[in-house]
Amino acid sequence: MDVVYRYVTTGPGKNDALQWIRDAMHGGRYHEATHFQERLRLYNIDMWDVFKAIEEAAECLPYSGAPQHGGTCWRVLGPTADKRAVAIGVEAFLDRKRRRCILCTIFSVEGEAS
Amino acid sequence: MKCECGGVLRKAVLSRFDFSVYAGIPVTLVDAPGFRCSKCGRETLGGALINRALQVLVQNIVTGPHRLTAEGARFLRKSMRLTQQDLAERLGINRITVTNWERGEAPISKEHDLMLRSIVGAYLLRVERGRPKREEIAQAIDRARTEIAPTASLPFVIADMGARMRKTAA
Repeated sequence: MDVVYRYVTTGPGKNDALQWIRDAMHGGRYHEATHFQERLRLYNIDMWDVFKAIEEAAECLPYSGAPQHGGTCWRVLGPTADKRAVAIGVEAFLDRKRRRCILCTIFSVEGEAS
Repeated sequence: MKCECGGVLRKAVLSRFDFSVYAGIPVTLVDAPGFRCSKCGRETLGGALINRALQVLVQNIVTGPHRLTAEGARFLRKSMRLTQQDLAERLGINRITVTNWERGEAPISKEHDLMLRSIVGAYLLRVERGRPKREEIAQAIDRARTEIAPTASLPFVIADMGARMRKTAA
């Protein structure tokens, strides 16, 4: 008998990743990695900018981050309140049937958001 | 929950947590319920607490007794996810004026201070069906003053909130 191994994730797929992340952020069902604090300082970005980037995201693309909670990793690209373009690295995952996410990192994006 | 260092983030009461990096203004949380890594000792907060603390800060600034400072004005604008241009359009002024407030190059006028607080008050109470009427904004602010939970009811205290802010406003 053939045995088929499947990689099962408990995170969202491409179609619902952004909505999943937005829901988690608004509901306060998120936490941030300690590395994320350093990135906030490095790029001089605050949580309002993170919220705005996620709410008005132009793109949400999968990226090759190693999920720590069995979810899926996404790079959310959006504008800050000062019209800078930022990309937020987020792991979205399911925990006790609730949609949660972890803010992992902030990627450098050059230029002004359109 | 795991920390990047490989340790485990355990629940802890953080005696003094520097919230400035999240808020963009100088704020320290006292006795905030958060997490501390068992290995590297780094501290972090949960999303619900971050959201609540930001909300309380907005409410404190909106209902504060002093004229808005550069940092306060910027904080309120960003809380509504507005760019400087967006805010200038809502207030019917030039963007440069908003830039000057936020850089501390010009003080915000009494009228614009009240208008900005009113817009935030309306935003907080989701009076967002087009442009709210003047009476609706006034009612929104009154309701905000009475309905907003006082800081004392939180499981933590917000301290050092803008010592600089008070100094400039005085």
